Amino acid sequence: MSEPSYSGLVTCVIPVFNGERYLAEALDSVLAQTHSPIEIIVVDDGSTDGTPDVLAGYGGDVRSVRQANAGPAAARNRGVADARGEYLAFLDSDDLWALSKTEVQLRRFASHPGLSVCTSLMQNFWVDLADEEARMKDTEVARPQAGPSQTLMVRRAAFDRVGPFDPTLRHRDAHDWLVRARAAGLQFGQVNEVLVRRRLHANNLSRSRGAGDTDDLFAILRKKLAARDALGR
Amino acid sequence: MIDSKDTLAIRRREVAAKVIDGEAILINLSTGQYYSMGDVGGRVWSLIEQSCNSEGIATAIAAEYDVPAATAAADVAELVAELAAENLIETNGAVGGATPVARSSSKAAYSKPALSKFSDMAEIFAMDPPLPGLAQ
Repeated sequence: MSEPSYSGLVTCVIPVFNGERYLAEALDSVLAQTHSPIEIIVVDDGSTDGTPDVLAGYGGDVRSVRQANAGPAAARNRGVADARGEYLAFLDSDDLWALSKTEVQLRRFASHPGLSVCTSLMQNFWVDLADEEARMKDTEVARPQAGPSQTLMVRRAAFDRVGPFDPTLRHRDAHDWLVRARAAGLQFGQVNEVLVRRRLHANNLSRSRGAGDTDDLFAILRKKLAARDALGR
Repeated sequence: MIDSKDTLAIRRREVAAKVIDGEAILINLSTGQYYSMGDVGGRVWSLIEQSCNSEGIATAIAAEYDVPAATAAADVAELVAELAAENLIETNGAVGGATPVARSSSKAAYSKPALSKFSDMAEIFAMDPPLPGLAQ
C-alpha cells in the first residue's frame, strides 16, 4: 500500500532578536527542505544588530516583519497573524531544521487525519563552548529529546482554536501553548526522529540558566492548578 | 527507608519546586509529573528546603498547628516517605539537620498533609527541561 499523499502550504515563523550571527544558517535550513514551497516569515523583534541586512540578502524568499521588542512569544504571534499556510511551524533564529523535517511531519499529518499537533525530537549542539560540550557529553542534555517550539507543526485551524502564545512568558510560551492544546483536547503526535538541531552558545545558555526559565514553568503550573481548583478538584 | 533523624534534601537535579502562597508546587523534570501540597504540606516542604529532618519538621508542625505531637510525627513520616518514593527528596547521608525556625503565635487549624500528583501533562513538562547549572 502506498503512503497517503501529502500536501498543504506550510508557514515557518522565525522570531529573531539580534540574531545576525546564526540567522542565515537557520533560514538556509528551511530553504533547503525536501518539501516546498514553504512560506517563511521572520519577525524581527527590534534587533539592533545586522539582522535587517541578513534578511535583505534573502530578497523575496523570506517575508520579514519588524516590531518593537516584545519577546519571542509576541513575535511568533505576529508571524502567525501574517501566515497564509494551512500548517504552522516554528524555528528559532539560531537553530536548524533537518532537511526532511517538513516532509516527515506532513506525511504524519497525511497518515493521521485526526492529528492536530506534531512534534519531534531535537538534539543540542554546542558552538564555541568546548568545555561545556565536554562536560555534557554523556548526559541527557546531549541526547535526542522531545522538543517544544522548534519541532512543533500544527494545523492552522487547530492553532486558532487554542489561541496565541502567551506573550508574558519569555521562555516557556511553547510549553504553555502545548498544555492549553492538550486541555482543549487536540490530538498530539510525536515523530521519534531528530528533526531539529538546537544550538547552544554563550548567549542562549546564560539566558536559559536564568531564574525566568523555571519561573515560567511555575506560572504555567499555577494556571493549571487554578483551573483544577475552579472545577472543584 | 528514611529515619526520622536523617537530614532531608530536595533532589535538585531533577526537581524544581516553589512555594507560592503556602502551596508547594513541584515538578519532576525527568518525568514531567507535577505535584502540589497545600497548607501543612507546603509548610513541610519549606522545612525540607531548610534541610531539616522529619523529627524536627514534626516538632515544628505540632508547635504551629493544632495537632497532637504523635499525629504530626506520623503524618510527617508518611508524607516524607511518599516524597522519597516519588524521587522528589533524598537523604544526604547526614544525621541531624537544621533546627526549624518556628513560626509565631497562635496555632493554626490542622489538616493532614497530602501530596497531589498530576501526570496529565507529563510528556509536555518533560520536554526540554531547564539546562543544568554549571555548578552542578
